Amino acid sequence: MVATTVPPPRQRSRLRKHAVPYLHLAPALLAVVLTTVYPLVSALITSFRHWRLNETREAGEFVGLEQYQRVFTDDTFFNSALVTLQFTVISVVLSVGLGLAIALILNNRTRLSALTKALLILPFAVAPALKGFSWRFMLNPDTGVYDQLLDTVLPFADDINWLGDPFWALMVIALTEVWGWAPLIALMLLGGLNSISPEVREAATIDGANAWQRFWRVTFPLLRPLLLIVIFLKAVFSVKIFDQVVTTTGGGPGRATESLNFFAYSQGFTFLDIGYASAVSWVIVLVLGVLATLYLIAMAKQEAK
Amino acid sequence: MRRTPRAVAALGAALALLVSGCAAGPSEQDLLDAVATGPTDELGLLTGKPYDGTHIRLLSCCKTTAQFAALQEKTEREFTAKTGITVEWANIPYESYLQKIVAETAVGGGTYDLVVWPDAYGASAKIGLQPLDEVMRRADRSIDEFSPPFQQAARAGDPDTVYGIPFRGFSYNLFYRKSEYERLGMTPAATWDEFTAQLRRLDGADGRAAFAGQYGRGGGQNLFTWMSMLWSNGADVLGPDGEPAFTTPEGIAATEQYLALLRDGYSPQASTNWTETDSTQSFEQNRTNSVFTWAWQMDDFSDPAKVQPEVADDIGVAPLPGWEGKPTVTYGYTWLMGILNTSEHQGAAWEYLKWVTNADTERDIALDKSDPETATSVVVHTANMLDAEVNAANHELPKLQESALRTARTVPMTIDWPQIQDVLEVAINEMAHGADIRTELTEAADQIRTLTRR
Repeated sequence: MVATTVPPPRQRSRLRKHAVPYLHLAPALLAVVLTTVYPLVSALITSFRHWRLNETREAGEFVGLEQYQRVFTDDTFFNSALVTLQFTVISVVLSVGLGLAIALILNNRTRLSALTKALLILPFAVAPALKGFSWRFMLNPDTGVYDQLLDTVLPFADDINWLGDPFWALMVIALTEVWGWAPLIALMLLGGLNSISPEVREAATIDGANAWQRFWRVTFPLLRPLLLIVIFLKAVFSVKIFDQVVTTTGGGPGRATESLNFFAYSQGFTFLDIGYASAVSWVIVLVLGVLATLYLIAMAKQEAK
Repeated sequence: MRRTPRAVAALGAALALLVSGCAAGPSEQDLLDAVATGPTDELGLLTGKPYDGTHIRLLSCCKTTAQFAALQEKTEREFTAKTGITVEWANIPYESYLQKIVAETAVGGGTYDLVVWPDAYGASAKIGLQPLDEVMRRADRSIDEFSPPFQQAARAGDPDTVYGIPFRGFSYNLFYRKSEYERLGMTPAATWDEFTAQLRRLDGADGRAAFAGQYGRGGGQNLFTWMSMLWSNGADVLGPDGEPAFTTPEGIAATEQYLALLRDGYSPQASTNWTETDSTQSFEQNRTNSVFTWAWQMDDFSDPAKVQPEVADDIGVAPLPGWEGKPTVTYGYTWLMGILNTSEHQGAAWEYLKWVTNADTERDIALDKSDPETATSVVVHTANMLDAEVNAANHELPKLQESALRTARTVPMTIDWPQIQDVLEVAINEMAHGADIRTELTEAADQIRTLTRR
């Protein structure tokens, strides 16, 4: 027989108090461990090994930092990083700018604003892959409705091969993103605008401020913390761009629209180089980690206010 | 207090089980041990239903493709009735399907018994496939039933082993508007120079562009015509030593000829970004006078429900042109079916593979035009391609295919092909956008050397 020590009742109660919440959280934590932590750790380990799926079923020998050295000497990786940066800047600026404009317009209550607000969510609800396919089809120079509309409205656009020109191809992918995100950002900013007391703006009006001064000196500073959060959130999603690249341009023309995620996907699922794809993925995770940290700091500052 | 450690231990055990369950794949089976022997019927199926009640799963895609739909319907109607084996065709969207091939062959998912793969995946997929030579020999079947490029694809780069049996394949052809050729008094060109001269006359004819090229990125589709031109001019993608062989004078001349179709304005400027679907749609929508594509497209081109009405009745088809004094070598594309190492029903899977790739099964389907949803002209057995009845029912296309496939080739069967294809399709796309041909080919060759030596 082994003697067991039973804690006193007070200590038992304290343990239960601490353990019960964790037990309730356990299913969710287990799901996170299995779907996020385990793949991340597994990918980290794999990134230090040589493993091409078409050579062997099992991960090969440890190669230290070789895969990471390859990442940072690979021109196509740097091309993808640059494309992602360009895309992120374009899509964040356009989405937030347009979202803010829509929010300011809808903030003036009209009969249609409630309906418009409800409709705004629709573009965001469209699956990203479907967005890409639709835009590709609509910009087809032979049969595309957008192409023909643009050629009619802007005669100089007749010569533009929207998806065949490196600049326009990236712009088109950015626009598919802006089309979905700007309305959502507008709804988020509308919430922010509604939280600003009308008295502040009224006071500015009484002091003789015009519409621009009221926006720039009163509304914008009060909206800035929320805008910062929106910018970080959008930036995180922009860095992850993948679906529209696949369905709109396939990374072309040349490699002009190959994003980081597309690059990692190609290495893993097209070229079957799992070791290298894991290293690339971890570099992306680190980039996203920095952005997510900035986002959380901005959130914390907003909550502190 | 005691419950908490127990719960944590239980959670830990569950996690460990899950992780170990994820890590361990199904064990490999041996096809020869699993195959039953005995008397067979006229299709080579074992009589007496030794696998009665067995359910097998086939990894495939594209359920609505006419040939696939016909095979599935016939499977239920005939194969299951004869053998008692039920067959489930997985219908996975194409992109996901390509990933699934890798998961099942390389990783060994264990979900499927049979797998279908496009030729270029063979070199990567073969580590998860059963060699078929011995069971084919025992069943009196031979890979010689098929054309050379299909045989090459079936061997997946291993000269002594067959890993899959072709069940879908085509030659690469010139499709054109018959009335326009007749009006201009032209017959399909035999050489590229003649073809270019004809494009000059076809350009703008009846308001249509001369030719629908495909120079965009997308699964290596912009390489189909290029490789055919390259091979026909005596150059190659990779030489016998595995080194890039497309920067020779012949390779550069072939590439220049290919790009001239676009640069000289015969193919629409938009085709710099077109894939196979875009170029064939352009032809179907009555916007171009000619296009290069696979033989199966005849089924769509001649269907008034799928193309502009004036197109459906006006389709001509011919072999691809070649180079003066040199044999024409085009790309013969094929899909193969094989048995997975991890299948637990390999005997039943072999029964199905024998039946589904049997020349008589294929012939019946090619002759059955009763339902537009299952009507197909696809045949891969040389005997069926030369069959008069099959030809009469299918626009006389099979014999044209057989002729083209006699000298055709498949893509290089190397595990590096996906990367090589990526480098080449980007290079072609860059050249279509104006990059210098020699420089681009040289850079592509350097990149390929680097990646194959890695």
